[in-house]
Amino acid sequence: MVVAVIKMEKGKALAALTAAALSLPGLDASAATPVTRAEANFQYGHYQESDKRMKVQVYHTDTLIPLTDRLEFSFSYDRDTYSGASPAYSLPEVMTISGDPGAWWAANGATAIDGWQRNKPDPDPFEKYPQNIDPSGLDWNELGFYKADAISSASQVSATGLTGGSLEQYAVWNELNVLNSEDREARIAAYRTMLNVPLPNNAPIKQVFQNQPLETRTQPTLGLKYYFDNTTLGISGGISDEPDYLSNFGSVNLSQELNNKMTTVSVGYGATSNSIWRNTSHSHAPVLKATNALPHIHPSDCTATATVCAPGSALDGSSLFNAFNLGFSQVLSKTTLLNASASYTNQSGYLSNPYKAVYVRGEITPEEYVTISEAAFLGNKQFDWNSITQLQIVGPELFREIRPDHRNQLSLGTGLIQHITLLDASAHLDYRFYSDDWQVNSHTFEFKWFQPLPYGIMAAPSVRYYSQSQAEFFAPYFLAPRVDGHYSSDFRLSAFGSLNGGITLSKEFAKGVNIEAGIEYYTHQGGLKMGGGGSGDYADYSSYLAHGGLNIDLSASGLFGGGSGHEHHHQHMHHGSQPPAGVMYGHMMPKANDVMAGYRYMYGSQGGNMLHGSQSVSDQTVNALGCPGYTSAGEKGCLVRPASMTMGMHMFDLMYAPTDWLNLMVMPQLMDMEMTMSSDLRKASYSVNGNTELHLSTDLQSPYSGMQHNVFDLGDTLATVLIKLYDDPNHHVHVGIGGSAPTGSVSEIHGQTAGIVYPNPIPVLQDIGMQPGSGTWDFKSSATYTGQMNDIYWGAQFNATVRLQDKNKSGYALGDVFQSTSWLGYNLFSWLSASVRGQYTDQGKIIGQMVQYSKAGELSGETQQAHNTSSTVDYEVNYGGQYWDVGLGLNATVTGGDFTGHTFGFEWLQPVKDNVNGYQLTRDGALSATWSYMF
Amino acid sequence: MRFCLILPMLLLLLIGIVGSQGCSPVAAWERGNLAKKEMALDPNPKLNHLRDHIFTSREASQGGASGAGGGCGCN
Repeated sequence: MVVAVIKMEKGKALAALTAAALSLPGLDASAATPVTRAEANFQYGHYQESDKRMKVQVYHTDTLIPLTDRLEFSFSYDRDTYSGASPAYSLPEVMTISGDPGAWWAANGATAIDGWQRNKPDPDPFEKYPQNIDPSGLDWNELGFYKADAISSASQVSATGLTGGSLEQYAVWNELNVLNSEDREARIAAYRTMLNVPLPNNAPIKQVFQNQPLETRTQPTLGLKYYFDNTTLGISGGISDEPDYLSNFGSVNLSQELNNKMTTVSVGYGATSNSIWRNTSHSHAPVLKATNALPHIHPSDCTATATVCAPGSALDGSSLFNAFNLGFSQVLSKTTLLNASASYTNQSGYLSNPYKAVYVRGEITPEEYVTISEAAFLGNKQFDWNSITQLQIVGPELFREIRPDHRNQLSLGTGLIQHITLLDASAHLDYRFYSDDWQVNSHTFEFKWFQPLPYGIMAAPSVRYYSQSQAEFFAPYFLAPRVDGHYSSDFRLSAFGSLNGGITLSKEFAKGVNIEAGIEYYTHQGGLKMGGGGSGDYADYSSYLAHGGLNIDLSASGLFGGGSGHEHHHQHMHHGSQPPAGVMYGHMMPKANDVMAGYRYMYGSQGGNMLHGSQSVSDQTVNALGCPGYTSAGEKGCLVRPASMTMGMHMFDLMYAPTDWLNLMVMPQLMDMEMTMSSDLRKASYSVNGNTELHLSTDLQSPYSGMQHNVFDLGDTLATVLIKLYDDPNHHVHVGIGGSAPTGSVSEIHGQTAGIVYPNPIPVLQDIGMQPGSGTWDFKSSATYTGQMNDIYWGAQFNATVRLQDKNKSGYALGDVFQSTSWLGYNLFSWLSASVRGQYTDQGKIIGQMVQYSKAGELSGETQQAHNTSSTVDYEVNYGGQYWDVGLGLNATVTGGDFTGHTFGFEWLQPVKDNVNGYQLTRDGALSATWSYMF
Repeated sequence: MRFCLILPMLLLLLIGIVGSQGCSPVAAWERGNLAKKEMALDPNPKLNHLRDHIFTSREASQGGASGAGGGCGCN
């Protein structure tokens, strides 16, 4: 929204009114009136789908800063963290085993069962399972599979030597039974029986899910807008980065006001260039429900030469989108605004979804399956898949989806905005028609109502209905190959309708601070398609979105634009005594009723060699000694070690001084951590029965090798009381007494695991160092002395963090932390000072152990969590130690211009000596940056 | 196919409104209501940005949303 702003000194009522009136709303809020206000926005969204499907946490921040009267700069930053399960493919339910696998086999291959039972090669396959699961309490079928998918279990397509091991358990069966037959025709007949189960009309469809490990998407965007008299030119660009998708985008927009600002016309062009990979750890992640088990998806283009195919290298796709937009808006009356828009997008390149599969019957004939089986049986790695099919095989009758590599999209929209004077409300009615050459047509209707309420509250309920037809090449499953070779069973291309309803409440507080919160509910249903003919109800789901936002008008709140309303301001903190940026609790506000807002960013990284005590140690030593007691199928010691770790802490600092000798301080934190594992330090173990470090016997590296995981979530919240003990012009002493509330999670997970190892999905926790919270209530105290003489200042601080509980909900408590530091600084200029600092930190040992899966616990109905055990960071003994650092810092206080009164600090902390407990990664250093402003 | 008529009908309706009200000039001082935040084309761009990302990653239709945005987040 564009609102003209008049400097307070020009604040004549008429001028203000005219200016406000002249600033008409324009397309995309780009009317040719400069936004002379600076603003900052923060937004949080929590998105959750039903049935343990996707969960997304969205953090957004943006800022708008006028650089000149006509030039405006914007920056936004999005961070999404997502996890959960996503549909991988769907197939006729009769092709799966659910409930009683024995019945299916009795109906379709009773002799096979007999054969298996007689010839079962391993009398007790269960003893090889991790944590020594006792099979007696689990629902295993006669074949030693836990409710495996029948179609997956019915062939040797993915057997060892060709595509790898997803079905190699079944290969044993095949070998023992059908394949043992000399009669090739009998084997073909056996495949035909298993693959071509007759389907009744309206056979129920089953969706099969795969798990999405916790991942993060980061998107910074920069924008510039220049306001000519009646024309606005905007450009913007940014990057969106996630582990398997990198997107670069840019756009340019021109809008022109005509007809005495009654009409606005705009044109725009945007380009997006994407790089797409397939993260193999996705498809290797176990599944949501054992009964819906998706076998491992194999990069089938590696199948012919499996031994030279590196994990994750199978897809290197790219796509390019070109989008053109036209917009038009017209003032119809004092209370009515009309708009219309058209957009055309051309997409080309890899437009498929790298994780979706399709069930296609008949693409491979029973004869060909036997040919494949024979090749597998003979270990023929040069087998030519392309002689059988051009599709990428991921399992029996399962292939990767393929979409056309071009798509033309057209969208036409129109909307009416009406002010209802009687209620002082505004109504928005929008309609959009969409059509593309994949034969998806859609209609979107949306209605929003903005109702001002007493106390400055705005209520905005909205409802949205959407309906689409299905893409030409969509089907839940395919009973015959398609001529054009395009297939997708992605629910997004099905025929369905959706209904979304929500309400947002917002309230404007004094000083230009606006807070809003809302909730929306969304339901996706095949039956909601307009006019019927939806794709059925098997893919129905619902989701909700809870969101909250904060908008700060930096100009109105006095934070930006220096001049206005600053006369009440005192001299800000005497920066001469301001401690270096890495020191917390080091500064007190000297006057009653002072309020300070601050932001502190601390970044630390680790990398390079591993340390034991103070000594660098080799990978062989880490492997031998870093993971006490760890073995897997005969292989001993750490499989991987951390290769790098970064930790960023965003701390929001609010301080208030009720009196001149006491300050209250609250500090919420956001944690941003990323860890990458090394490649395998030794040969990874392999076992068919599940206690394995390799997913496929043909894999060159374990999934832990090079594994990257990250966490972006709320940390603990600090609250402290600072009390002044002594103060004269040269010396100052204060103490801090407070605590830390366990608002940060200690249950961040890699993902869920299930399938043949565990009967139910079990969250796999990330290691202790990656948990954003301590999980315990902590007592935090500090004592600080600062002094100054002329241009020299100095200080010292002792602080302690003591855990008040001996275990958090994940079973452990971090060690206590004791830290002492002292510094010396010099005022280089009236606004700039430099400091040098020494710091010693003692971090105690972890008490207790992180929770681990327990068979007994599971049988007694306890909720189970598990954690990995293959790396040093998975062991409590490898945490804590003594650390010595030297810091170099700069502090600056802005004394003129728009940022008058803002204080900035930077400090680099260089490790000089470590003495770590156990085996830990070497610290590279840490950066602290602070901003603060006293009101 | 009957739904294909909706768009033209809606456009006709809107043109009807335009026709009936004409394009009589609205003077600057008469634009107080139009200048309200909730009368903007997109009164809540941050929330719309969030919703658009969800809708475009859950529905086949894309386009029509203002500005460029990247990323997939499409599992």
